[in-house]
Amino acid sequence: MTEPDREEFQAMVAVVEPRLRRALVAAYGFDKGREATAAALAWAWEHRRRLRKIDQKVAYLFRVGQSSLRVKKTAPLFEIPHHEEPWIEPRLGSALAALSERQRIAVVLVYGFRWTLAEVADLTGTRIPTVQTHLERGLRHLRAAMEVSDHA
Amino acid sequence: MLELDEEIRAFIDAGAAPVTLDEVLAHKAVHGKAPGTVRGIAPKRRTLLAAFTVAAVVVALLIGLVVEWPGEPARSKPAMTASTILTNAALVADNERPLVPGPGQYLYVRVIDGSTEGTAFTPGKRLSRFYVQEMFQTWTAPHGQPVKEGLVVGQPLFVTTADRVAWEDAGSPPIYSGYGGGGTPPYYDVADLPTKADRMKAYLAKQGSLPVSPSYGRDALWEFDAAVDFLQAGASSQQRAALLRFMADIPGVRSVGPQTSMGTGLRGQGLELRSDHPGAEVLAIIDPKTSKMLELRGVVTNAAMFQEIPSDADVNSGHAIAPWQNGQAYSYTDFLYAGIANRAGHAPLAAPTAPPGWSWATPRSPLPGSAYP
Repeated sequence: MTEPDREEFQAMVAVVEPRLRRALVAAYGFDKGREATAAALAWAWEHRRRLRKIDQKVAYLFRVGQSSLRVKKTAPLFEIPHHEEPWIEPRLGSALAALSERQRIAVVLVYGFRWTLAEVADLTGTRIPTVQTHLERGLRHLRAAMEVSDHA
Repeated sequence: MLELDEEIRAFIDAGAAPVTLDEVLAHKAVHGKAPGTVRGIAPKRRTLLAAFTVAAVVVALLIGLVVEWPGEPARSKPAMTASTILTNAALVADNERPLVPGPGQYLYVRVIDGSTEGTAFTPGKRLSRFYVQEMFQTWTAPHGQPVKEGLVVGQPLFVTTADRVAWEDAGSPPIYSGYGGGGTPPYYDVADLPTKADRMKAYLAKQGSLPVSPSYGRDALWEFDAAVDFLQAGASSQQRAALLRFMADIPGVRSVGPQTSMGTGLRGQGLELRSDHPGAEVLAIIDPKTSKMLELRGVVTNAAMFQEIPSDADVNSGHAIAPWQNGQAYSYTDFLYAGIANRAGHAPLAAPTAPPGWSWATPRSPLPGSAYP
Protein backbone atom coordinates (compact mmCIF):
# COMPACT_ATOMS: atom_id res chain seq x y z
CA MET A 1 0.00 0.00 0.00
CA THR A 2 1.46 3.33 -1.00
CA GLU A 3 0.91 6.42 1.06
CA PRO A 4 -0.77 8.36 -1.80
CA ASP A 5 -3.11 5.42 -2.36
CA ARG A 6 -4.04 5.36 1.30
CA GLU A 7 -4.59 9.09 1.43
CA GLU A 8 -6.80 9.06 -1.63
CA PHE A 9 -8.81 6.15 -0.27
CA GLN A 10 -9.12 7.80 3.13
CA ALA A 11 -10.51 10.91 1.48
CA MET A 12 -13.02 8.81 -0.43
CA VAL A 13 -14.06 6.95 2.73
CA ALA A 14 -14.58 10.21 4.57
CA VAL A 15 -17.11 11.26 1.97
CA VAL A 16 -18.78 7.96 1.21
CA GLU A 17 -18.84 6.14 4.55
CA PRO A 18 -21.51 8.14 6.41
CA ARG A 19 -24.00 7.93 3.55
CA LEU A 20 -23.26 4.30 2.81
CA ARG A 21 -23.52 3.31 6.48
CA ARG A 22 -26.81 5.11 6.99
CA ALA A 23 -28.27 3.54 3.85
CA LEU A 24 -27.23 0.02 4.78
CA VAL A 25 -28.29 0.49 8.40
CA ALA A 26 -31.67 1.74 7.21
CA ALA A 27 -32.04 -1.40 5.13
CA TYR A 28 -30.63 -4.06 7.44
CA GLY A 29 -30.44 -2.72 10.97
CA PHE A 30 -27.53 -1.62 13.09
CA ASP A 31 -25.29 -4.69 13.19
CA LYS A 32 -25.81 -6.06 9.72
CA GLY A 33 -25.82 -2.60 8.19
CA ARG A 34 -22.50 -1.73 9.76
CA GLU A 35 -21.04 -5.11 8.83
CA ALA A 36 -22.14 -4.61 5.23
CA THR A 37 -20.60 -1.13 5.23
CA ALA A 38 -17.24 -2.50 6.32
CA ALA A 39 -17.44 -5.26 3.70
CA ALA A 40 -18.34 -2.84 0.93
CA LEU A 41 -15.52 -0.47 1.83
CA ALA A 42 -13.08 -3.37 1.99
CA TRP A 43 -14.16 -4.26 -1.53
CA ALA A 44 -13.73 -0.63 -2.47
CA TRP A 45 -10.14 -0.72 -1.26
CA GLU A 46 -9.38 -3.85 -3.29
CA HIS A 47 -10.95 -2.35 -6.39
CA ARG A 48 -10.04 1.28 -5.81
CA ARG A 49 -8.76 1.86 -9.33
CA ARG A 50 -11.98 0.62 -10.86
CA LEU A 51 -14.03 2.60 -8.36
CA ARG A 52 -12.42 5.84 -9.52
CA LYS A 53 -14.44 5.50 -12.74
CA ILE A 54 -17.75 5.02 -10.95
CA ASP A 55 -19.70 8.25 -10.54
CA GLN A 56 -22.30 7.11 -8.05
CA LYS A 57 -20.08 5.39 -5.55
CA VAL A 58 -22.60 5.18 -2.72
CA ALA A 59 -25.23 3.45 -4.85
CA TYR A 60 -22.64 1.09 -6.29
CA LEU A 61 -21.16 0.23 -2.90
CA PHE A 62 -24.66 -0.18 -1.47
CA ARG A 63 -25.16 -3.09 -3.85
CA VAL A 64 -21.75 -4.47 -2.89
CA GLY A 65 -22.83 -4.29 0.75
CA GLN A 66 -26.10 -6.03 -0.03
CA SER A 67 -24.25 -8.86 -1.75
CA SER A 68 -21.94 -9.25 1.21
CA LEU A 69 -24.75 -10.22 3.56
CA ARG A 70 -24.46 -13.95 3.31
CA VAL A 71 -27.20 -15.00 5.64
CA LYS A 72 -30.86 -15.48 4.94
CA LYS A 73 -32.81 -12.29 5.36
CA THR A 74 -34.05 -11.74 8.86
CA ALA A 75 -35.94 -8.92 10.46
CA PRO A 76 -33.68 -5.89 10.93
CA LEU A 77 -32.69 -5.11 14.48
CA PHE A 78 -32.65 -1.58 15.77
CA GLU A 79 -31.67 -2.06 19.38
CA ILE A 80 -29.06 0.14 20.96
CA PRO A 81 -27.35 -1.60 23.89
CA HIS A 82 -27.55 0.45 27.07
CA HIS A 83 -29.63 2.98 25.26
CA GLU A 84 -29.88 5.94 27.61
CA GLU A 85 -30.70 8.85 25.34
CA PRO A 86 -33.91 10.14 26.88
CA TRP A 87 -34.61 12.29 23.82
CA ILE A 88 -35.17 9.32 21.55
CA GLU A 89 -38.64 7.82 21.66
CA PRO A 90 -38.24 4.21 22.91
CA ARG A 91 -40.69 2.91 20.30
CA LEU A 92 -38.72 4.30 17.36
CA GLY A 93 -36.60 1.17 16.85
CA SER A 94 -39.52 -1.24 16.76
CA ALA A 95 -41.55 1.15 14.64
CA LEU A 96 -38.76 1.38 12.07
CA ALA A 97 -38.27 -2.38 12.09
CA ALA A 98 -41.98 -2.86 11.37
CA LEU A 99 -41.76 -0.91 8.11
CA SER A 100 -41.01 -2.67 4.85
CA GLU A 101 -37.39 -2.40 3.80
CA ARG A 102 -38.06 0.10 1.04
CA GLN A 103 -40.36 2.21 3.16
CA ARG A 104 -37.72 2.29 5.88
CA ILE A 105 -34.96 3.29 3.46
CA ALA A 106 -37.12 6.12 2.13
CA VAL A 107 -38.12 7.36 5.58
CA VAL A 108 -34.64 7.24 7.08
CA LEU A 109 -32.77 8.68 4.11
CA VAL A 110 -35.23 11.16 2.62
CA TYR A 111 -37.06 12.29 5.73
CA GLY A 112 -34.31 11.75 8.28
CA PHE A 113 -31.14 12.57 6.37
CA ARG A 114 -32.54 14.82 3.64
CA TRP A 115 -31.48 12.70 0.67
CA THR A 116 -33.26 13.55 -2.55
CA LEU A 117 -35.82 11.16 -3.99
CA ALA A 118 -33.52 10.69 -6.99
CA GLU A 119 -30.63 9.62 -4.76
CA VAL A 120 -32.75 6.97 -3.08
CA ALA A 121 -34.14 5.85 -6.44
CA ASP A 122 -30.56 5.33 -7.64
CA LEU A 123 -29.74 3.43 -4.50
CA THR A 124 -32.65 1.04 -4.64
CA GLY A 125 -33.13 0.77 -8.39
CA THR A 126 -36.69 2.05 -8.24
CA ARG A 127 -38.43 4.97 -9.86
CA ILE A 128 -38.65 8.33 -8.16
CA PRO A 129 -42.46 8.32 -7.87
CA THR A 130 -42.23 4.90 -6.22
CA VAL A 131 -39.74 6.23 -3.66
CA GLN A 132 -42.10 9.10 -2.97
CA THR A 133 -44.93 6.67 -2.30
CA HIS A 134 -42.74 4.51 -0.06
CA LEU A 135 -41.86 7.67 1.86
CA GLU A 136 -45.43 8.81 2.32
CA ARG A 137 -46.72 5.40 3.37
CA GLY A 138 -43.73 4.71 5.57
CA LEU A 139 -44.11 8.00 7.39
CA ARG A 140 -47.80 7.36 7.88
CA HIS A 141 -47.12 3.94 9.38
CA LEU A 142 -44.26 5.24 11.50
CA ARG A 143 -46.31 8.07 12.91
CA ALA A 144 -49.21 5.75 13.60
CA ALA A 145 -46.92 3.33 15.41
CA MET A 146 -45.47 6.13 17.49
CA GLU A 147 -48.79 7.93 17.87
CA VAL A 148 -47.39 11.14 16.42
CA SER A 149 -49.84 13.40 14.68
CA ASP A 150 -49.27 14.50 11.08
CA HIS A 151 -48.52 17.99 12.33
CA ALA A 152 -45.85 16.98 14.80
CA MET B 1 -38.21 17.11 22.63
CA LEU B 2 -36.84 16.39 19.18
CA GLU B 3 -38.80 16.46 15.96
CA LEU B 4 -39.27 13.06 14.37
CA ASP B 5 -36.67 13.63 11.64
CA GLU B 6 -34.10 14.72 14.23
CA GLU B 7 -34.90 11.65 16.29
CA ILE B 8 -34.35 9.40 13.29
CA ARG B 9 -30.99 10.96 12.55
CA ALA B 10 -29.86 10.72 16.15
CA PHE B 11 -31.14 7.17 16.47
CA ILE B 12 -29.47 5.82 13.31
CA ASP B 13 -26.13 7.46 14.09
CA ALA B 14 -26.25 6.37 17.74
CA GLY B 15 -26.83 2.74 16.81
CA ALA B 16 -24.04 2.28 14.28
CA ALA B 17 -20.73 4.02 14.85
CA PRO B 18 -18.67 5.13 11.84
CA VAL B 19 -16.57 2.41 10.20
CA THR B 20 -12.93 3.48 10.53
CA LEU B 21 -10.25 3.18 7.89
CA ASP B 22 -8.35 0.70 10.05
CA GLU B 23 -11.43 -1.49 10.27
CA VAL B 24 -11.85 -1.36 6.52
CA LEU B 25 -8.26 -2.29 5.82
CA ALA B 26 -8.43 -5.12 8.35
CA HIS B 27 -11.64 -6.47 6.92
CA LYS B 28 -11.27 -9.38 4.61
CA ALA B 29 -12.94 -8.40 1.38
CA VAL B 30 -15.73 -10.76 0.54
CA HIS B 31 -15.50 -10.44 -3.22
CA GLY B 32 -12.11 -11.09 -4.70
CA LYS B 33 -12.95 -11.28 -8.37
CA ALA B 34 -12.94 -8.12 -10.40
CA PRO B 35 -15.97 -7.14 -12.40
CA GLY B 36 -16.12 -7.95 -16.06
CA THR B 37 -16.99 -11.63 -15.99
CA VAL B 38 -20.61 -11.28 -16.98
CA ARG B 39 -21.67 -13.89 -19.48
CA GLY B 40 -24.41 -13.31 -21.95
CA ILE B 41 -27.01 -15.93 -22.70
CA ALA B 42 -26.14 -17.71 -25.95
CA PRO B 43 -28.94 -17.86 -28.53
CA LYS B 44 -29.22 -21.66 -28.30
CA ARG B 45 -29.36 -21.53 -24.54
CA ARG B 46 -31.89 -18.73 -24.77
CA THR B 47 -34.13 -20.98 -26.92
CA LEU B 48 -33.83 -23.81 -24.42
CA LEU B 49 -34.46 -21.36 -21.63
CA ALA B 50 -37.59 -20.05 -23.31
CA ALA B 51 -38.90 -23.58 -23.90
CA PHE B 52 -38.20 -24.53 -20.32
CA THR B 53 -39.84 -21.38 -19.13
CA VAL B 54 -43.05 -21.97 -21.08
CA ALA B 55 -43.32 -25.36 -19.41
CA ALA B 56 -42.46 -23.84 -16.05
CA VAL B 57 -45.10 -21.16 -16.44
CA VAL B 58 -47.75 -23.76 -17.22
CA VAL B 59 -46.77 -25.87 -14.24
CA ALA B 60 -46.58 -22.86 -11.97
CA LEU B 61 -50.00 -21.65 -13.01
CA LEU B 62 -51.39 -25.10 -12.36
CA ILE B 63 -49.94 -25.29 -8.88
CA GLY B 64 -50.73 -21.64 -8.26
CA LEU B 65 -47.42 -20.72 -6.74
CA VAL B 66 -44.75 -19.05 -8.81
CA VAL B 67 -43.91 -18.29 -12.40
CA GLU B 68 -40.69 -17.40 -14.08
CA TRP B 69 -39.83 -14.64 -16.49
CA PRO B 70 -38.23 -16.01 -19.66
CA GLY B 71 -36.02 -13.02 -20.27
CA GLU B 72 -36.43 -10.43 -22.99
CA PRO B 73 -36.02 -11.81 -26.51
CA ALA B 74 -33.34 -10.35 -28.72
CA ARG B 75 -34.28 -6.93 -30.00
CA SER B 76 -35.24 -6.80 -33.62
CA LYS B 77 -34.33 -3.87 -35.79
CA PRO B 78 -36.88 -1.10 -35.26
CA ALA B 79 -38.90 -0.38 -38.36
CA MET B 80 -39.88 3.15 -37.29
CA THR B 81 -38.23 5.94 -35.40
CA ALA B 82 -39.37 6.82 -31.88
CA SER B 83 -40.77 10.10 -33.15
CA THR B 84 -42.87 8.34 -35.83
CA ILE B 85 -44.23 5.80 -33.34
CA LEU B 86 -45.20 8.48 -30.84
CA THR B 87 -46.68 10.79 -33.47
CA ASN B 88 -48.78 7.96 -34.95
CA ALA B 89 -49.96 6.98 -31.46
CA ALA B 90 -50.92 10.60 -30.86
CA LEU B 91 -53.16 10.52 -33.92
CA VAL B 92 -54.92 7.44 -32.51
CA ALA B 93 -55.26 9.06 -29.10
CA ASP B 94 -56.89 12.11 -30.64
CA ASN B 95 -59.86 10.00 -31.61
CA GLU B 96 -60.45 8.39 -28.22
CA ARG B 97 -63.22 9.28 -25.82
CA PRO B 98 -61.90 11.21 -22.82
CA LEU B 99 -62.10 9.68 -19.37
CA VAL B 100 -63.69 12.44 -17.32
CA PRO B 101 -65.55 11.41 -14.16
CA GLY B 102 -68.95 13.04 -13.68
CA PRO B 103 -70.39 14.17 -10.35
CA GLY B 104 -70.03 11.39 -7.79
CA GLN B 105 -67.88 9.31 -10.11
CA TYR B 106 -64.26 8.27 -9.84
CA LEU B 107 -61.37 7.70 -12.19
CA TYR B 108 -60.33 4.09 -11.73
CA VAL B 109 -56.72 3.09 -12.57
CA ARG B 110 -55.22 -0.38 -12.27
CA VAL B 111 -51.50 -1.13 -12.62
CA ILE B 112 -49.02 -3.88 -11.81
CA ASP B 113 -45.83 -2.82 -10.08
CA GLY B 114 -42.91 -5.24 -10.29
CA SER B 115 -39.72 -4.91 -8.26
CA THR B 116 -37.02 -7.38 -7.30
CA GLU B 117 -36.08 -9.23 -4.18
CA GLY B 118 -33.51 -11.89 -3.43
CA THR B 119 -33.21 -14.46 -0.72
CA ALA B 120 -31.31 -17.63 0.20
CA PHE B 121 -33.53 -20.66 0.59
CA THR B 122 -30.64 -22.93 1.60
CA PRO B 123 -27.60 -21.66 3.53
CA GLY B 124 -24.45 -22.18 1.48
CA LYS B 125 -26.34 -22.52 -1.80
CA ARG B 126 -27.19 -20.10 -4.56
CA LEU B 127 -29.51 -17.23 -3.68
CA SER B 128 -32.66 -16.81 -5.71
CA ARG B 129 -33.78 -13.55 -7.23
CA PHE B 130 -37.38 -12.92 -8.15
CA TYR B 131 -39.74 -10.17 -9.14
CA VAL B 132 -42.38 -9.24 -6.62
CA GLN B 133 -45.59 -8.30 -8.37
CA GLU B 134 -48.31 -6.17 -6.85
CA MET B 135 -51.49 -5.03 -8.52
CA PHE B 136 -52.75 -1.61 -7.43
CA GLN B 137 -56.14 -0.05 -7.96
CA THR B 138 -56.95 3.59 -7.26
CA TRP B 139 -60.25 5.45 -7.26
CA THR B 140 -59.85 9.20 -7.56
CA ALA B 141 -62.33 12.04 -7.81
CA PRO B 142 -61.45 14.94 -10.16
CA HIS B 143 -59.04 17.40 -8.55
CA GLY B 144 -58.85 15.08 -5.56
CA GLN B 145 -56.36 12.84 -3.88
CA PRO B 146 -56.83 9.09 -4.28
CA VAL B 147 -59.88 8.30 -2.21
CA LYS B 148 -59.32 4.61 -2.10
CA GLU B 149 -56.55 2.18 -2.89
CA GLY B 150 -56.66 -1.54 -3.33
CA LEU B 151 -53.67 -3.87 -3.29
CA VAL B 152 -53.40 -7.43 -4.55
CA VAL B 153 -50.10 -9.18 -4.10
CA GLY B 154 -49.28 -11.26 -7.14
CA GLN B 155 -47.16 -14.25 -7.78
CA PRO B 156 -43.42 -13.88 -7.49
CA LEU B 157 -41.69 -14.31 -10.83
CA PHE B 158 -38.22 -15.86 -10.89
CA VAL B 159 -35.67 -13.91 -12.89
CA THR B 160 -33.83 -16.93 -14.31
CA THR B 161 -34.08 -20.70 -14.46
CA ALA B 162 -31.20 -20.99 -12.02
CA ASP B 163 -33.09 -18.85 -9.50
CA ARG B 164 -36.06 -21.14 -9.76
CA VAL B 165 -33.95 -24.32 -9.51
CA ALA B 166 -32.37 -23.04 -6.29
CA TRP B 167 -35.86 -22.60 -4.84
CA GLU B 168 -36.95 -26.07 -6.01
CA ASP B 169 -33.80 -27.66 -4.58
CA ALA B 170 -34.75 -26.19 -1.20
CA GLY B 171 -38.13 -27.96 -1.34
CA SER B 172 -40.12 -25.08 -2.87
CA PRO B 173 -40.73 -23.25 0.42
CA PRO B 174 -43.23 -20.36 0.67
CA ILE B 175 -41.79 -17.13 -0.69
CA TYR B 176 -42.44 -13.81 0.82
CA SER B 177 -43.92 -11.52 -1.72
CA GLY B 178 -44.98 -7.94 -1.59
CA TYR B 179 -44.03 -5.14 0.69
CA GLY B 180 -47.26 -4.72 2.61
CA GLY B 181 -47.87 -1.32 1.13
CA GLY B 182 -45.78 1.07 -0.87
CA GLY B 183 -45.15 0.97 -4.57
CA THR B 184 -48.39 2.53 -5.71
CA PRO B 185 -47.66 4.99 -8.48
CA PRO B 186 -48.98 8.33 -7.23
CA TYR B 187 -52.09 9.67 -8.86
CA TYR B 188 -51.59 12.73 -11.00
CA ASP B 189 -54.48 15.08 -11.34
CA VAL B 190 -55.00 15.39 -15.06
CA ALA B 191 -57.81 17.94 -14.94
CA ASP B 192 -55.58 20.84 -16.02
CA LEU B 193 -53.07 18.90 -18.10
CA PRO B 194 -52.52 20.81 -21.37
CA THR B 195 -53.88 19.59 -24.66
CA LYS B 196 -51.02 21.25 -26.54
CA ALA B 197 -47.60 19.59 -26.64
CA ASP B 198 -45.70 22.88 -26.52
CA ARG B 199 -47.26 23.76 -23.16
CA MET B 200 -46.45 20.41 -21.56
CA LYS B 201 -42.93 21.11 -20.36
CA ALA B 202 -43.91 24.24 -18.46
CA TYR B 203 -46.92 22.51 -16.96
CA LEU B 204 -44.92 19.52 -15.74
CA ALA B 205 -42.31 21.80 -14.20
CA LYS B 206 -45.00 23.53 -12.12
CA GLN B 207 -46.39 20.35 -10.56
CA GLY B 208 -45.81 20.19 -6.85
CA SER B 209 -46.60 16.49 -6.80
CA LEU B 210 -43.72 15.72 -9.15
CA PRO B 211 -40.11 15.64 -8.05
CA VAL B 212 -38.51 18.75 -9.45
CA SER B 213 -36.56 18.47 -12.65
CA PRO B 214 -33.03 19.10 -11.32
CA SER B 215 -33.23 16.09 -9.02
CA TYR B 216 -33.16 13.89 -12.09
CA GLY B 217 -29.94 15.46 -13.26
CA ARG B 218 -31.15 15.55 -16.86
CA ASP B 219 -34.24 17.19 -18.21
CA ALA B 220 -34.88 14.63 -20.96
CA LEU B 221 -35.28 11.77 -18.52
CA TRP B 222 -37.43 13.82 -16.19
CA GLU B 223 -39.71 14.84 -19.04
CA PHE B 224 -39.98 11.27 -20.29
CA ASP B 225 -40.75 9.83 -16.86
CA ALA B 226 -43.29 12.52 -16.00
CA ALA B 227 -45.07 12.19 -19.34
CA VAL B 228 -45.35 8.41 -18.95
CA ASP B 229 -46.85 8.82 -15.50
CA PHE B 230 -49.53 11.11 -16.81
CA LEU B 231 -50.22 8.76 -19.71
CA GLN B 232 -50.86 5.98 -17.22
CA ALA B 233 -53.08 8.02 -14.97
CA GLY B 234 -56.22 8.62 -17.00
CA ALA B 235 -55.35 11.60 -19.19
CA SER B 236 -58.05 12.41 -21.71
CA SER B 237 -57.60 11.64 -25.40
CA GLN B 238 -56.45 15.14 -26.33
CA GLN B 239 -54.15 15.25 -23.34
CA ARG B 240 -52.71 11.86 -24.24
CA ALA B 241 -52.14 13.01 -27.79
CA ALA B 242 -50.34 16.10 -26.50
CA LEU B 243 -48.23 13.98 -24.16
CA LEU B 244 -47.23 11.64 -26.97
CA ARG B 245 -46.31 14.54 -29.25
CA PHE B 246 -44.34 16.05 -26.39
CA MET B 247 -42.49 12.76 -25.90
CA ALA B 248 -41.71 12.57 -29.61
CA ASP B 249 -39.63 15.73 -29.26
CA ILE B 250 -37.62 14.63 -26.21
CA PRO B 251 -33.97 14.30 -27.26
CA GLY B 252 -32.42 10.86 -26.86
CA VAL B 253 -35.62 8.82 -27.06
CA ARG B 254 -35.12 6.01 -29.58
CA SER B 255 -37.07 3.07 -30.88
CA VAL B 256 -35.85 -0.42 -29.94
CA GLY B 257 -38.44 -2.44 -31.85
CA PRO B 258 -41.18 -4.81 -30.69
CA GLN B 259 -41.21 -5.66 -26.97
CA THR B 260 -43.39 -7.75 -24.65
CA SER B 261 -44.58 -6.39 -21.31
CA MET B 262 -43.53 -8.45 -18.31
CA GLY B 263 -46.61 -8.33 -16.13
CA THR B 264 -49.22 -8.65 -18.86
CA GLY B 265 -47.41 -10.27 -21.79
CA LEU B 266 -48.70 -7.68 -24.28
CA ARG B 267 -46.78 -6.73 -27.41
CA GLY B 268 -45.91 -3.17 -28.29
CA GLN B 269 -43.16 -0.90 -29.57
CA GLY B 270 -40.24 -0.18 -27.25
CA LEU B 271 -38.93 3.35 -26.74
CA GLU B 272 -35.78 3.75 -24.73
CA LEU B 273 -33.90 6.54 -23.01
CA ARG B 274 -30.68 6.41 -21.05
CA SER B 275 -31.25 6.39 -17.32
CA ASP B 276 -29.23 8.47 -14.89
CA HIS B 277 -28.58 5.19 -13.12
CA PRO B 278 -25.20 4.02 -14.53
CA GLY B 279 -25.53 1.03 -16.83
CA ALA B 280 -29.32 1.26 -17.08
CA GLU B 281 -31.97 2.47 -19.50
CA VAL B 282 -35.62 3.39 -19.12
CA LEU B 283 -37.84 1.45 -21.52
CA ALA B 284 -41.43 2.41 -22.31
CA ILE B 285 -43.60 -0.01 -24.29
CA ILE B 286 -46.45 1.55 -26.17
CA ASP B 287 -49.18 -0.03 -28.31
CA PRO B 288 -49.25 2.15 -31.45
CA LYS B 289 -52.67 0.79 -32.44
CA THR B 290 -54.38 1.97 -29.27
CA SER B 291 -51.90 4.65 -28.12
CA LYS B 292 -51.86 2.91 -24.73
CA MET B 293 -48.77 2.84 -22.57
CA LEU B 294 -48.28 -0.83 -21.74
CA GLU B 295 -45.22 -0.76 -19.51
CA LEU B 296 -42.41 1.34 -18.09
CA ARG B 297 -39.34 -0.73 -17.29
CA GLY B 298 -35.87 -0.25 -15.85
CA VAL B 299 -33.40 -2.30 -17.91
CA VAL B 300 -29.78 -3.21 -17.24
CA THR B 301 -27.78 -2.41 -20.36
CA ASN B 302 -24.24 -2.44 -18.98
CA ALA B 303 -24.08 -4.95 -16.16
CA ALA B 304 -20.51 -4.11 -15.21
CA MET B 305 -21.42 -0.47 -14.68
CA PHE B 306 -24.69 -1.26 -12.98
CA GLN B 307 -23.32 -3.46 -10.22
CA GLU B 308 -20.34 -5.19 -8.74
CA ILE B 309 -19.86 -8.58 -10.41
CA PRO B 310 -19.13 -11.35 -7.90
CA SER B 311 -17.29 -14.52 -8.81
CA ASP B 312 -19.17 -17.63 -9.94
CA ALA B 313 -17.93 -19.38 -6.81
CA ASP B 314 -19.43 -16.68 -4.60
CA VAL B 315 -22.71 -16.87 -6.47
CA ASN B 316 -22.96 -20.65 -6.37
CA SER B 317 -22.11 -20.82 -2.67
CA GLY B 318 -24.71 -18.22 -1.77
CA HIS B 319 -22.12 -15.63 -0.80
CA ALA B 320 -23.44 -13.19 -3.38
CA ILE B 321 -26.55 -12.64 -5.43
CA ALA B 322 -26.10 -13.49 -9.10
CA PRO B 323 -25.38 -10.32 -11.06
CA TRP B 324 -27.88 -8.84 -13.43
CA GLN B 325 -27.30 -9.66 -17.08
CA ASN B 326 -27.55 -7.12 -19.85
CA GLY B 327 -31.14 -6.86 -21.04
CA GLN B 328 -32.76 -7.94 -17.77
CA ALA B 329 -35.37 -5.76 -16.10
CA TYR B 330 -34.79 -4.60 -12.56
CA SER B 331 -38.25 -3.05 -12.14
CA TYR B 332 -41.39 -2.51 -14.17
CA THR B 333 -44.84 -0.97 -14.02
CA ASP B 334 -47.59 -2.30 -16.27
CA PHE B 335 -50.66 -0.26 -17.06
CA LEU B 336 -53.71 -2.52 -16.98
CA TYR B 337 -56.88 -0.48 -17.21
CA ALA B 338 -58.44 2.93 -16.67
CA GLY B 339 -62.14 3.68 -16.63
CA ILE B 340 -64.91 5.50 -14.80
CA ALA B 341 -66.24 3.94 -11.60
CA ASN B 342 -69.53 4.85 -10.02
CA ARG B 343 -68.45 3.82 -6.54
CA ALA B 344 -65.10 3.92 -4.75
CA GLY B 345 -63.92 0.41 -4.03
CA HIS B 346 -65.77 -1.11 -6.99
CA ALA B 347 -64.13 -1.58 -10.38
CA PRO B 348 -66.09 -0.39 -13.42
CA LEU B 349 -68.24 -3.09 -14.95
CA ALA B 350 -66.18 -2.91 -18.13
CA ALA B 351 -62.92 -3.58 -16.27
CA PRO B 352 -61.34 -6.91 -17.13
CA THR B 353 -60.96 -9.51 -14.45
CA ALA B 354 -57.63 -9.78 -12.71
CA PRO B 355 -54.84 -11.42 -14.72
CA PRO B 356 -54.74 -15.24 -14.79
CA GLY B 357 -52.75 -16.77 -12.01
CA TRP B 358 -53.80 -14.20 -9.47
CA SER B 359 -57.00 -15.85 -8.40
CA TRP B 360 -55.56 -17.19 -5.17
CA ALA B 361 -54.49 -13.75 -4.03
CA THR B 362 -56.73 -11.72 -1.79
CA PRO B 363 -56.50 -7.99 -1.13
CA ARG B 364 -53.73 -7.17 1.32
CA SER B 365 -52.97 -10.84 1.87
CA PRO B 366 -49.45 -11.70 0.80
CA LEU B 367 -48.35 -15.27 0.26
CA PRO B 368 -48.11 -17.46 3.34
CA GLY B 369 -44.71 -16.95 4.86
CA SER B 370 -44.48 -13.35 3.80
CA ALA B 371 -41.80 -11.41 5.57
CA TYR B 372 -43.94 -8.33 5.28
CA PRO B 373 -47.40 -9.28 6.53
